[in-house]
Amino acid sequence: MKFSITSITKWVSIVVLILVVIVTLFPVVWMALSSVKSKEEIFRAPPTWAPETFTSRHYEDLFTRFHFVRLTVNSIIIAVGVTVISVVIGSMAAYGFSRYSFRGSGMLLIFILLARMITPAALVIPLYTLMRTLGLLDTMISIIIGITIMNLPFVIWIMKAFFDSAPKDVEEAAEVDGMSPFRTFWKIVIPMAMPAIATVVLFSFVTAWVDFLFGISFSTTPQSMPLTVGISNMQTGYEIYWGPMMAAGVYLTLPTLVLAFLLQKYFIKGLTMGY
Amino acid sequence: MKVYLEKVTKKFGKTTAVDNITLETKNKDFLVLLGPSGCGKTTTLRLIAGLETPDSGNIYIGDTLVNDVSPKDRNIAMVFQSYALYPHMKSYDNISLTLKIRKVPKEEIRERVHNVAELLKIEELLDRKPGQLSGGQRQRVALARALVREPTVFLMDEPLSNLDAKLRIHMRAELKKMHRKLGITTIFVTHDQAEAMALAERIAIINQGTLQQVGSPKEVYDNPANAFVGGFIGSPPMNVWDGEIVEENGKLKIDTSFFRYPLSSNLKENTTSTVTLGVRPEDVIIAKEKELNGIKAKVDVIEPMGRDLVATLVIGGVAMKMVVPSDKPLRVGDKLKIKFKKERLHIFEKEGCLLNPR
Repeated sequence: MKFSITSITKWVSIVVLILVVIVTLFPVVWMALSSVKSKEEIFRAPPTWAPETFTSRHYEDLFTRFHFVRLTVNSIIIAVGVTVISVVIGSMAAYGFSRYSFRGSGMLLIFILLARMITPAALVIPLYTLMRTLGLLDTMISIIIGITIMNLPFVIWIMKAFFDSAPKDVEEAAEVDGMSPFRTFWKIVIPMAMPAIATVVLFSFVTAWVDFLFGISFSTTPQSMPLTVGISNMQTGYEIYWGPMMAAGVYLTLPTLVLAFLLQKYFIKGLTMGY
Repeated sequence: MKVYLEKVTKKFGKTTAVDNITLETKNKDFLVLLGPSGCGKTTTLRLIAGLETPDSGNIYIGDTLVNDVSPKDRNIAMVFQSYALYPHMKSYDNISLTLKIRKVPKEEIRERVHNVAELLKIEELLDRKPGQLSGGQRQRVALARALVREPTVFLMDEPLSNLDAKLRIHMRAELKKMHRKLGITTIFVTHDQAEAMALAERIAIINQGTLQQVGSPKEVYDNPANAFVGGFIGSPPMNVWDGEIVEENGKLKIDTSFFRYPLSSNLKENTTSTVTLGVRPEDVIIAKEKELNGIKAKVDVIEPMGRDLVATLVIGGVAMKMVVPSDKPLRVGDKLKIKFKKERLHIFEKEGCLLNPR
């Protein structure tokens, strides 16, 4: 049997991809299986693969012992807040950069990207003092602001790439038709930019949903605490609640998974824009 | 409504897209801006629309200077090459949007949209989005969107170039009919000389940002102002040879490197000796064997076009075209003598000006 170079390349890539998927998914699958095992079975050696006894106890614990109703509401408010602010401000800024050139616009774009390159850990301390001065500590607003600062550069760059590649004549037609630039943006440009917006919505939502750093730094009580910080609180000085932690992991992953499946068509289109 | 460009120049960086163009349309004119790609014709149209601002010069629509008037206040309508329909809106909304912005009463909007839809035969397409329309249908919706405004000037940027050949010819006739019916001054950009000849009342030929000639299709065809216009208008294109004017036995002749040919004596005085000779393929005729001035040629390719045939002839190693009725018994490889219709010779100065105006 003869193999051509292309078919060898193809098979090698398939094998590599399968390996990558196994390595990536193993912890996730392990987490999902452990979340429905009893506490005793989680620690059994040798470990069991499929759960022998199925229990939903850990999931119940999330809501009865660990304030997960409140924390879920917090996480949703934070994620939606970050997404809305990032998309509104980010797409307007990106449109400005794409359509109007002004002195220093290139430099400004680089600076915006620089903000993204700074590690968030370095930003947390100055932001913490700022939030304290503003009296915003232990509020969701502070967490939203923190995540948005890190997220906006990505949104601006993705949206700018989209606007750069989008034909301008539809906007010119709107101009001749008598639309103001602002109205053209909201009525014509944004509806046409849906693939890019889906990408940044998904990305912003996931970034905010899984954020831990700003949550743990700015929140101190369940009043403003997101789910991620709630999970870390399951590790106390006396005990680590492995079962509920696994259940919380699954619970936290589900919305992002659903969103990714719903938007994946747009997501791939958005990320590969201009290539 | 007249449109008048007065010494208009537009530069993009170091490139001069429109170079000191002065051009006036007549009232109810159908003016076609014709030229090769990148010659500045679309920029000229965009300047009139207000989508570009001139670096110098003035643009008038009617008697109003519109240099600083925004596109929406110029009362122009534009049809774009890509149609530029709003992809997320139904045809009805695409067409009516401009009226909604102008706060026209709803009832009147409905009436006007249905009137243009009827005119362009797109009534059944009003509920569809652009993605559900064919190229020709989109084109009609784009036209309807422009028409519904009842503009004073109609600007069209190669609106037919995305249609297939048959539909394009059909739409040409439709556009012409529509123009006659509505009498709106229309400025139409194209790079297709056949389209320009078919549509235009007057053609303005532009090359490298400068205006070469303005005239009726017949004028620019019969009396091209320079070698560029001569070569650009007409299909197959004009045959051109560089040559020198010489005197032989008291008679003027043109001497190209391939042949010598006698000229009539109505050349302008002080003619420079280095010139370009232009002969349209249909002005080449087969001469008798013993014709003294005949040029020896060999038939290289024959393209039957139905009524006529286009023959590619070789003279001294260089190809040229001749159009003859298809009943002429020509065959590839035939050797023959040709001559030119004397009154139809075009002689251009090197810089391009016509030397033997009729």
